[in-house]
Amino acid sequence: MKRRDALKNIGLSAGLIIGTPSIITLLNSCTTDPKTWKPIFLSKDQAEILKNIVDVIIPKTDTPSASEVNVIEFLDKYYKEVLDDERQKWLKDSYNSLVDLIKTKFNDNMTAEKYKDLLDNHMILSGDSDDLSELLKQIKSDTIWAYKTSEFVGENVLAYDPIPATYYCGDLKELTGGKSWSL
Amino acid sequence: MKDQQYDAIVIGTGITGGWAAKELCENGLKTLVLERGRMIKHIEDYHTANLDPWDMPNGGRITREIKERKFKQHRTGYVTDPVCEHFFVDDTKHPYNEVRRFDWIRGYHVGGKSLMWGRQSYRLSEIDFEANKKDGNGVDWPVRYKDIAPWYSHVEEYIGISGEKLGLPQLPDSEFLKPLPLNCAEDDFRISVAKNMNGRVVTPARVAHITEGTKPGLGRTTCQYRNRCMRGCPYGAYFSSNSSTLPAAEATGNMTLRPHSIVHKIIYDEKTKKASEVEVIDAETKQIHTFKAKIIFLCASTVPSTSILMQSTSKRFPNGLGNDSGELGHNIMDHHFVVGAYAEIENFKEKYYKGRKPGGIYIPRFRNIGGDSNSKDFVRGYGYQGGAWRESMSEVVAELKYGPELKEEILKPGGWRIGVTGFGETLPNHNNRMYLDYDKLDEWGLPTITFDADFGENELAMREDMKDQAVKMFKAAGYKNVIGYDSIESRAMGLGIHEMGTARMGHDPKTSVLNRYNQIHACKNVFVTDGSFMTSSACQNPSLTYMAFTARAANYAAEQIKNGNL
Repeated sequence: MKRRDALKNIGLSAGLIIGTPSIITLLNSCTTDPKTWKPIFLSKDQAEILKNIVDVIIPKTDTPSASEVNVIEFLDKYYKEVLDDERQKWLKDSYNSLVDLIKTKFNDNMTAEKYKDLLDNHMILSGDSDDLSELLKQIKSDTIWAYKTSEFVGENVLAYDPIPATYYCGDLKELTGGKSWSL
Repeated sequence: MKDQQYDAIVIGTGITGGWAAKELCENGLKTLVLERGRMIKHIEDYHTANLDPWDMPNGGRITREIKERKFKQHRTGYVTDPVCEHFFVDDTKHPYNEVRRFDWIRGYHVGGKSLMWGRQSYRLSEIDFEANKKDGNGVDWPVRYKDIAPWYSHVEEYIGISGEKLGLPQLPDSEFLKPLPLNCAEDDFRISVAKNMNGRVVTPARVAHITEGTKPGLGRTTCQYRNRCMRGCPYGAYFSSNSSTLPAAEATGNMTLRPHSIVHKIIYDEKTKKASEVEVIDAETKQIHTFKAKIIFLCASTVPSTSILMQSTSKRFPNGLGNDSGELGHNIMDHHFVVGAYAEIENFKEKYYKGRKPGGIYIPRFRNIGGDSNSKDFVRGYGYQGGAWRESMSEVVAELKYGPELKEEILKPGGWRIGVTGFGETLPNHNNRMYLDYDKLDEWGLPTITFDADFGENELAMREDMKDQAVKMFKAAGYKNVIGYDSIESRAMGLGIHEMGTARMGHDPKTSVLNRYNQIHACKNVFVTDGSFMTSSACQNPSLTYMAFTARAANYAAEQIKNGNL
């Protein structure tokens, strides 16, 4: 979405929170309008499924969900610009299988609970894994990486320290409140 | 173009070209400094220096497009990162050939690899300078530690090296700024090694970083612990030509810096028996220019300097300038590495660090330095570099599939890990070589370079020990899941980016290219002071040694000019 419009809308309805750095940062990272955004690697169906899965993996709590920090847009572009031919082909095939599975097994009638079922039944964390499980695990790790690499999470959720100016060992709680550094 | 006359010409602006320029200019010589690549201005041209991952497309991951253009540079796995890839060449534009795999990693711009170097800085020792003579590999160094020690000091005081004094004969101390601190896990390892490993030492990496105060140059100040060095440092905290030596040369008013200048040939004058001028192709216009000077410093880095000498044929030197011995292009060496161990440390769960330091730990050589350190299986030795850190997220993440609990765990640091990789000495071997291919020309009509080299039996035997000893040290410290590794995949020569030895120094013109002052034996006004002069590789990261030899040679050259000998 256009940053200025977003700010204006929020300004009208919630003048008090506009000044908080977190909100401004969130808006800065929001560069696409979900309504008009078109995926460049995934199909629309696949992107929709991905959106639902990433928000089950990283749901909204007191901090944003994965899709709220643009993980879908990020991964779609990453698939196209970073992955090599072989990996891209594998992803396309695996996403197609996932779409088929959702159509046949779930009759296209998906809810968050059903996506949880899908992950419970088809993401195999240890032991023999098939292509579908590999895809779901890949989505999990890509989602985590993309979420942690987003500006909002990097600057506001994780411990952010662009210019430390020093190096020492200290107490984890005191240094970062138990969080990981984002850089 | 008409000839232009200078006192000195320096070819190259990297770690040695910068030093040659500074010392020659400060000695009052009008100096032309030639660089084949573009200008990189300190700070101004470090456009990625302050970018966070979310400021970079794709979180800073390497795109397909970069990989395709830089497919050989990409063998390193890190120099093609979008934050620094612009400092490394396109392999499509700058091709080379391999009989055996050779990873030739380079950057063509003002500052050369001094902008992206690893900054690890260790002196060679008397043991290193005597090694060839003692075990009969290669030829004897015509220099001993006492000859170069004052020049190490000269360089170190100017650029700033951080480290801890140890008084070891195999790794002489530098003029140190305060060391980088060890973190709690590294300190734990240091204590364990001191207790369990028969005098072995763990010390903070010795790096060319200002850890206190300032140094001369363009506002060089103390490290801010961001560890974004390879992008260029806006604080000038690590040494580069761009922040330090080139500004010093510029300040004298004696330097003319000419980027986009590809040196094609050094012209030899049969009458004076000296090099008289340098022929340059303008990289952009492709016009040819010539420049005259009394002395020429070849500092283009090992492979390019050697190829310039090979291209500089004449009636007197039909096989390349200074190549009476036939050794030019031979004896190419690099350090062999990517062998060692890593482990998990269960303690210190409540500890974390602040800051991202630009160097970890170093374990100085402990093999073949006398007594029970001597090995039956190999000669020479190795050191280790490494460090300890916390993983970026909790191990619990692997056991969860989704949900708020997973979301919490991805934000917590994981456990401590420690890892080391050995850096081993490579013996000089006449069969390891580079040569020119005149059938495959580059965009400027110049011959491409072909490499035919690999590590030998001594290096392979050494690697066994490098792995075993790393595992032993971690096990002795009580660490868990200790895994030794020897990455055959990443073992090609060149990957260490310490290519050296192709125009070696020696006593005898029949077996070497350069004399003890880095002069070509039979063409005394040409000095070669980059890594090509190295008679043996030792196991220390070599840049500091290149700088010390360059400063020594430049001051010697200036003195010879004053005395009318050159």
